[in-house]
Amino acid sequence: MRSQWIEVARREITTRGRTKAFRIVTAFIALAAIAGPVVAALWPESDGALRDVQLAVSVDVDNAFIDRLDVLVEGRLNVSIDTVNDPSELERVVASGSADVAVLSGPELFWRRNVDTELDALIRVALNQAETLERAQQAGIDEQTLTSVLTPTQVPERFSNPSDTTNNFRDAITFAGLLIAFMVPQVFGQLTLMSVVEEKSTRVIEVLLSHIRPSSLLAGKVAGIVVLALIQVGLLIGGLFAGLALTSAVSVPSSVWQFIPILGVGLVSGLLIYTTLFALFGSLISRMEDASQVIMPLYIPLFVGYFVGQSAIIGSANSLLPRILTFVPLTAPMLLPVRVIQGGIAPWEVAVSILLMAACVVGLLRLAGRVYEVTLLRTGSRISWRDLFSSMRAAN
Amino acid sequence: MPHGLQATNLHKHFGAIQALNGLSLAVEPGQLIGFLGPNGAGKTTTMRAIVGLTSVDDGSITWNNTPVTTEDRKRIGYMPQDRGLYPRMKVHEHITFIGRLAGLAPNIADRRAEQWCERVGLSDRSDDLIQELSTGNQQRVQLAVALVHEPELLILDEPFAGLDPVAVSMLSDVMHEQVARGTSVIFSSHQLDLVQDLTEQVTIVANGTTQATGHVTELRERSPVRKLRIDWREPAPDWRPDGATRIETGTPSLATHTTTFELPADADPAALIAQASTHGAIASVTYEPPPLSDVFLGLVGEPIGSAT
Repeated sequence: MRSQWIEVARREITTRGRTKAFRIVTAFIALAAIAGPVVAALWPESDGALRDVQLAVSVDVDNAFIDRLDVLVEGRLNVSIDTVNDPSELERVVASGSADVAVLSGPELFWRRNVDTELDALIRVALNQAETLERAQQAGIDEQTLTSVLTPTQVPERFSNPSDTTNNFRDAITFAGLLIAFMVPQVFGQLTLMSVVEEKSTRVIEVLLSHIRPSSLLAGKVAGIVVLALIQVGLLIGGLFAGLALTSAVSVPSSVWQFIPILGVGLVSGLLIYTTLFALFGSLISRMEDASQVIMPLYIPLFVGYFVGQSAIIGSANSLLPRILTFVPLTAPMLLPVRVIQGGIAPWEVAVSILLMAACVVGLLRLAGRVYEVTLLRTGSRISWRDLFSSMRAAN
Repeated sequence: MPHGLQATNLHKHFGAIQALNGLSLAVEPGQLIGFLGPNGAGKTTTMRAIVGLTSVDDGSITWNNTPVTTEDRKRIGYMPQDRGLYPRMKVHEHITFIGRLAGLAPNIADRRAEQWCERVGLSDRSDDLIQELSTGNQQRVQLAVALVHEPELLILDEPFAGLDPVAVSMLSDVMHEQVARGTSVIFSSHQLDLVQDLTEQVTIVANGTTQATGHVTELRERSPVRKLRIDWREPAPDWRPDGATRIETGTPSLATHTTTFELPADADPAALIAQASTHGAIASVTYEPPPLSDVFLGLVGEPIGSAT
């Protein structure tokens, strides 16, 4: 015989999982996750393609300019150059949009409206180099000598925290994990709350509680909704990696996979903690209209964890506030993964944080089970905290 | 020692309200009991206490002479007054789900759900969502949910409320079937005529206390009054027996040819009929104790359903 809480979890998964809203959202998440990298790969600039620019040049301009410009734009811009005899024709092609800029004799640059700063800089350097070369030749200096004289000194560079692919992925994954740990418990917490309120408002709760203990009902509900959340998050992550694999646009460093377990710990802990809290708070009301007021306090630790987590990624992940919040079970689901992925957290800190979150989940399930016993059969207006505590005392 | 359910001297208060004040109720295996009382008498609180939804401050609830346990409660079927079903579950699925919660193996719960869909006349709607059913059909599902695990004790709180005559007949048949297979059935109802037709055994409560319990016939016989109804062949004469109170029927067509009197229980019916025949030609005579509704009124001092 199956445990009762498993039956409740199974019901949550099957009935909520087959609702049109859930199926549409899930399909959208999966498609968006796959399509994201594919669309990015198909975007013209995302595959390294150079920007096209059109240049109209007067015949009077020195050919050395064109040679120098060819060298300078290589790898930066894809420049097409038309040589034009008539100065008025030069202005006309710019005015009509056929060319981005005209280099008139003089030399002088003729733009349509705005200056393209990158192109402008390259043209000016090319003109300067052509002019320098001409003067050098007049002074009897050959081009090779001039080039060796003007070649800039190579200045080596070093980085304390180099922005390589792995670090970029590390930051991206930390941000994405933080966002998921912030958003998913909210969304599925509200789903839990709706489920509790539905059972109270339809009075099906009376039938359920004649067969099952309140704590088992709660445990099954939380388990079912957490499974639904993990299905959606799994599709999101799986779709994203599938999209990346399809396009081969970005190679994911193998070291990234080591972050998945801690992200999973944070997500599952956050889901368990917040779905239980939303269920507990939801048991105080019988109408969805009262929901926003009663659940407001739950958003405070969520937002604190999210914003401190963001600061920790950008700044120092091991400063005092992120360290403290790693040991607060309501914020640890967001802060612990951030600190682990960013590095510098001690192993004992990880262990203590996980233990505290686990203890919090067990404690909350027990507390919520007791609250359930005195709230689930009470319908009508919202149950105040004072009323709840006195009812719990009376029930003891 | 009697078997079955014994709820003895139950006390329960909600804040300043004394919901149960020494209420007792008993039902034996294979017995059908009507649990009667005005609104607020303590019927629902008692039923909830039996199924474990609410605790009592004092008193005992036993099943086969031992306190009711969580395991015992798996053998109870409960249909609450406020009907409760998941609107977005399918009929068959819902019945199966409750069956599994009650401890049935998946295949048995599935088979029983199918059987109960057929029994309550919802075979062709078994894949429909509950929210797509009429209120009457949802009540049928509610009954199936209460019975899917073949309980030994069936508790039905106002099961006839809102049912059409066909559904009332079906529910009455189901209740008798359950009694025939040995199930103890307790049901509350405000439809006293229906209760009188369904069962001989009632418990009447008011203000959280048991006012009377026993066979309907006995309770009626215990009444200090009797009713004498005479149908005359001609318009009724202006006659009234000594010590009797004439009761108006309220139906004009009957008023002209029928007279009904309330008499002391020790009145001699034969003498009364002989006396009446001297005042006109009699078509038929009925002499009987008052109906259950009058007994109820006499005990609780108010019509059923009038209190708050």
